[in-house]
Parts: sequence; C-alpha cells; structure tokens
Amino acid sequence: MMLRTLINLFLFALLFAISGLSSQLYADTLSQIQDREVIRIGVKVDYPPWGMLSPEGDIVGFEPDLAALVAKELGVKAKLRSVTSGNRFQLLEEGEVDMLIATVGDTQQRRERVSMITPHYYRSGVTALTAKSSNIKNWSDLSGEKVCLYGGSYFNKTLIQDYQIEPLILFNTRDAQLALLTKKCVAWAYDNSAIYHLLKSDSWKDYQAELPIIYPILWSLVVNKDLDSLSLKRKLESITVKWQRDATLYKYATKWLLPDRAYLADRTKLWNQKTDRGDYLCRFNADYHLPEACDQYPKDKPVENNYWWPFDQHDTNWLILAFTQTLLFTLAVVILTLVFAYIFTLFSLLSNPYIRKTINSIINVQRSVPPIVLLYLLYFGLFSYHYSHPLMLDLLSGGAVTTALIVLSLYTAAGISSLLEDAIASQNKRRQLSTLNTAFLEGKHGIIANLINLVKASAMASALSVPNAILVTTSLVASQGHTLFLMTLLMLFYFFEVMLFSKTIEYLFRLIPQAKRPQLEN
Amino acid sequence: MTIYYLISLFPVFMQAFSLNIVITLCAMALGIMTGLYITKLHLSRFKLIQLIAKSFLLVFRNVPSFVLLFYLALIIPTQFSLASMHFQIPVIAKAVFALGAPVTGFACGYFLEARTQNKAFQLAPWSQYFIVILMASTTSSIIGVKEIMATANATIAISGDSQMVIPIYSLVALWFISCSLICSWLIKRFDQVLLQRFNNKAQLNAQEGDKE
Repeated sequence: MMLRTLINLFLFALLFAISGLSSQLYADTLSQIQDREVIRIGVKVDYPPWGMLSPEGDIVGFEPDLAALVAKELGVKAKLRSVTSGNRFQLLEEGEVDMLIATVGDTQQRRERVSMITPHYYRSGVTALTAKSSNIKNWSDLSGEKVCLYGGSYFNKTLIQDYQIEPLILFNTRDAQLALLTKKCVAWAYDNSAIYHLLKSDSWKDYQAELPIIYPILWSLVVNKDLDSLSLKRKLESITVKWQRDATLYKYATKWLLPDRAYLADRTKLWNQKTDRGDYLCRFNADYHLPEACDQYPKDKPVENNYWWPFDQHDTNWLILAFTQTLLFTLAVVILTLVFAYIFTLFSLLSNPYIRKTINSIINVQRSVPPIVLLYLLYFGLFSYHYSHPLMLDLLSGGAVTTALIVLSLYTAAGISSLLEDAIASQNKRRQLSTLNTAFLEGKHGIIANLINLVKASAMASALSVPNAILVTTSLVASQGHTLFLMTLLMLFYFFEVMLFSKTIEYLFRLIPQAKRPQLEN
Repeated sequence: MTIYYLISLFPVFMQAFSLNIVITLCAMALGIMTGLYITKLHLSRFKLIQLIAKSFLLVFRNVPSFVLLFYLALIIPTQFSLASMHFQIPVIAKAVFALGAPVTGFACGYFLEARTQNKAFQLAPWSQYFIVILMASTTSSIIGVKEIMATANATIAISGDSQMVIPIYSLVALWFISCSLICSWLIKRFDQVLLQRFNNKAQLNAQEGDKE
C-alpha cells in the first residue's frame, strides 16, 4: 500500500516535471531571454578579425561587438559561446545558443534549416590574389590564363564558365598558395575574407587582391526556424535595419579594418534614401519583405529533376573527360614504367660488381622517398625554374602530367628492377640477356603486383592537378552536392579500372612465357 | 642561413613525423586484425561466407587507399550527435581506416599463403609493408592531417618564399631515406636471428627424428 502511494507520488512528480519541461520548451525565445536576462550568442573564434581570441583569452572582433550591441538593445547581458562552421547550426537547434553571429552566408539551402535575418549585415565574395608585378586588373584579363582554384570552392564551375579561365584545381588552400608562389598559375581565386587574412602577413607583400568581388554571399544573423523564435527574429530585423541607417555596421567594420567597407557605406546611403512622400525607400512591407533593391534574397536553386542522373550536359562531359584522362594517364604510366624497368635491369647485367651496385643503390634511393614528396619536390621545386632557364628541355617545362609520369614510373621501375636484381643474383649465373629473361619470367608475380600498385598509386597524380577523376569529382561535390552519389561513382570507377588493368596485365604476362618456353628448355 | 633555418625546423618535423608513425601503426594493427578475420571467413565451410570474404577482399585490394581517403573524408561527417551526445571523428581516424584497407589485403594474402607453407616467420615482408604504409601515410596531408608533408607545405606557404620549396622537400625526402635505411638494417639483423633459430630448431627436430 505504502509502495503504491510512493509510486503514485513519483509518477505524479514525473508528470509535473515533464509538463514543466514542455512548457519551457514551447516558450517564446525572446521572453525567455528577457526572463533570464542573458542572451547566449554563438560567435566564431577562428576567423580574425571577425571573431577571435584576444591575448587575454576573451572573444573579440567585429561579430562579438555586434553581439554586445544586440544584448544592449534587448537590455540583457550577452553570453558569447564559440562555435565552428561545423557545429553552429546544431548548437542553435539544440538550444545551446539563442542566435548566431558567426559568418553565416545566406543560402536557399540553409534557409531550409534555420531562419536568416534580413537585412544582411556583411558580404563576402570571390576575389583573386595576384602578383603586384602582374598586369591583371579585371576578371576578363584572366580569360585563357591559368588560375589556381581550391577544389572545395563552391564557385569553381561558374568561374570557369563565366570567364573562360584555364583552371588548376588543387586539393587544399596550402597547395593553391604554393602553386601561385611557384608561378604555376597567374592568380588564385578564393574567398575575399580569407585572402584578406593572408595579405596581412608580411610574406605575401608582393601580392595583391585588387579584382572586384564577384559571386557575393550575404551574411546573416541566424535564429531558429520554429515559431517561438519569431518575436526574436522581428526584433533582430529592426535592430539590423537600425544598424544600416545609422552606419553602425560601417563604423565597426572600420574599427576592425575589414575589407570591402565601401559596400557597407553604400548600404547606409541606400537605407537612408526616402521616397517623395517622405518614407524610407527601404523598409519592410506588411508581409515582412524588403524591396528587391534594398536586400537580395538568395536565388532559388534550379529545379532538381528526379531523374537518377543529377548533372547537366557540361558536368557530364566534364566527368566523362576526366574518367577517360585517368585511364589514358594510367596506361601511359604503366608503359613508361616497363620501359624504365627494362633500362634499369640492363644495368644489372654489368659484370663489374662495384659499378653495378652503385647504380643499383642510386636507383633504389628514390624508392624510399614517398612518391608524393617527390611529386611536390619536382613540380613546385626543381621544375618551377623553367622561367629562368629557357634552355631546359621542353619536356621538363613544369608540366604536371610529365612530372607525375616520371615520378610514378621511376618509383615503380626501381621496385621492379630490384626484384629482378635479386632474382638474377640468386641464380648465380653469368650475367647475360638470357638470365635477364629467365629472371623476368620468374619474377612475374612480383612485377604484376608492382604494376597493380602503380595503377592504384596513379590516383596520386591528382595532387598536382593532373586532369583526373578525383579532382573533377570532388569539384563537383563542392559545387553541386550529391556527395554520396559522386563519391560512390568514383570508387566504382577506380575499382573497375584497377580490375581492368590487373586482368589485362595478367593476361599479357600469360602470353609471354609461351613464346619463350622452347628457348628456356634448350 | 638556410641551413640554420632547416635545423631549427627539426623538432617541428619530428613531432609531425610521429603522427605518421602513429597513423601507420594503427593502420597496420587495424589491417592485420581485419585481415585475420577475413582469412577466417575465407576458410569457412560455407560457400556464402566464403563469397562474402572474397568480395570484401576484392574491394580492399582494388580500391586505391588514396581514393578511399577522399571517400571517407567527404562521406563521414566530422561530428555527429546521437541523443544529445556529441561525437567527433578526427581526420586522423579516417586516414587510419583508409590506409588499413591495403594492409587488410596484404595481411589476408600473407595468412592464406602461410597456412600452406611451413617457413620461418620473417619480419622482412611485414616491415617492408610497414615502410610502404609509412610512405603512403604522407598522402593523408591532402585531407588535412597535420603530418610531416602537411607541415612541410605549411612551412613553405607561411614563409611565402618559393626558394624554400627545394630545401624543405629535400629535407623531408632525406628524412624518409634515412628512416628506411635504419629500418631495413635493423630488420635484416633481426631476421638473421629468427632464421638461425628456426634452422636450429629444424635441425634439432631432425636429430630427434633420427634417434627414433
């Protein structure tokens, strides 16, 4: 009896707690903030000077300043919480923060998940880093020129199509910087705020970013999409309108020396324009919409077709070309390897053991260096001086394809030749061409294994922006999405490529011994 | 001037290189364990399980680790939550998984072959493969692991001086050359000892057999 009462009491308490919790869950965000007298705002600390840590460990910057202004307007205290691009929306959705001022660009896709506050408070876009000595003043000057691009940028395809540049796509921004430094490209097109960071450091003093900003992305304050946040949203809209009119944004941008301040100055002028009747030209209408001239909403994405193949003709052709190029490159590198391996093994026939061993160890030294190190060393290092040495062979003129072909085939050829050298040495016979042939046949399995590894390693050439399936696939992922589809396609492509090559190589090797067997039996 | 600068880079490179070693060791451990398991499946009496093992092996052998690296980097999110618990997947784990695949293929081949032959256990094939994976671990710089190659790239990019390219990459190349020289010398000595023991044992067994 006692127990039952206790259980009842417990259940009652539980019910009470749940109802209390749910009433809290469905409370209006703005009144909650005002009740607790604190607004929790997510800001960045990895994006100076928009948001960063001061030497004392405080969060400071353009966006933290705006956060403090928001809190002041609401009459509460601001509690800043550091967020990253990866977790910001999640923390907002989980109620860890009430709003974000964290370099969020307004896109249609993100609008499906969170609520963007308009007017926007800042913009970033694409500019290009060029050497001060170059004569590039406008985007049209880049037509037909080699331009470095980071594979993860969303604008690559549009830029290539709009300005007919010759793209040099690299896997990370470091490599893009290296390629620009070593004059593999005349410009590096990238996000203007990131380039702005870079230019602040002394080492880039010979470079500039003077090209006008294109493909702008507008930055928004962000709140949750649910109905509870609506009142907060309206309040923030009126705050940002105020910031536009009284030039607050411009003032704080000047305080933190942000780039592209002229844009904010223009905005202030626009937001202060009045109609003939004396009203502000830019203001919300009854549906909480702004006139087109005052603030742009992100454009809708083109209607997606439900067809299983989600890409347009341009992208499809790009993919097919890349797959073909990858196959051709692999074929070329396998053939070149066999040629090199044959030449290397001829050295094994030398009768003088000292000369032989010296040559062999020279060949073998490069085998203990990772191919990717050699690729970078040759491409960005040795071969990048062809500008100052016009006499250097045309073949070595810094072409990524040539470099990758040479490095990968030399690496594998050295592996094969050391295998053959071991086989010849174990035979203890006179070193002549027939011993070489016997060794070649005996070492068949090793040679095939080496060649198959080469087929797999040839994917590495994409690190140097050799036209390749990986590069094009990852670029498409960055601009179009469809990550799982594209990456699985890439995986399948390589799976069947390796299968194709290994079966063909095995088949060809099966042909050789039959031709030579009578000779061996003699 | 350059030489002093390069020497000053040594501790940084050392630290970055330790990451390469960690990645390689983890990938080897992971690959050997998966390899053992797949070998076990491969020897199963059931045709279906054999087929599954074979197809797994085919995938591990045929997909380049470089492609797998990208696959994992792009498909698996870096952080996700389950029931308000946050999980972070570091890029280094993705590198370990990607490099573990070729090790699995290699280990499987080794175990299947070892069953049919009675040979002395030799470290050489394993250590050679260790070096192969150690060298391949430099490719993880591409997905953002701060190992030795990424450190070299960063050093050059920060210096903003294209003259640094050759000395710094040469340093990395030298690093690997000396590392593999030391490794192969050590392994050779170790294997000599192992082979001797095996031969002694075989001799002993033979003598005992004679007595009977």
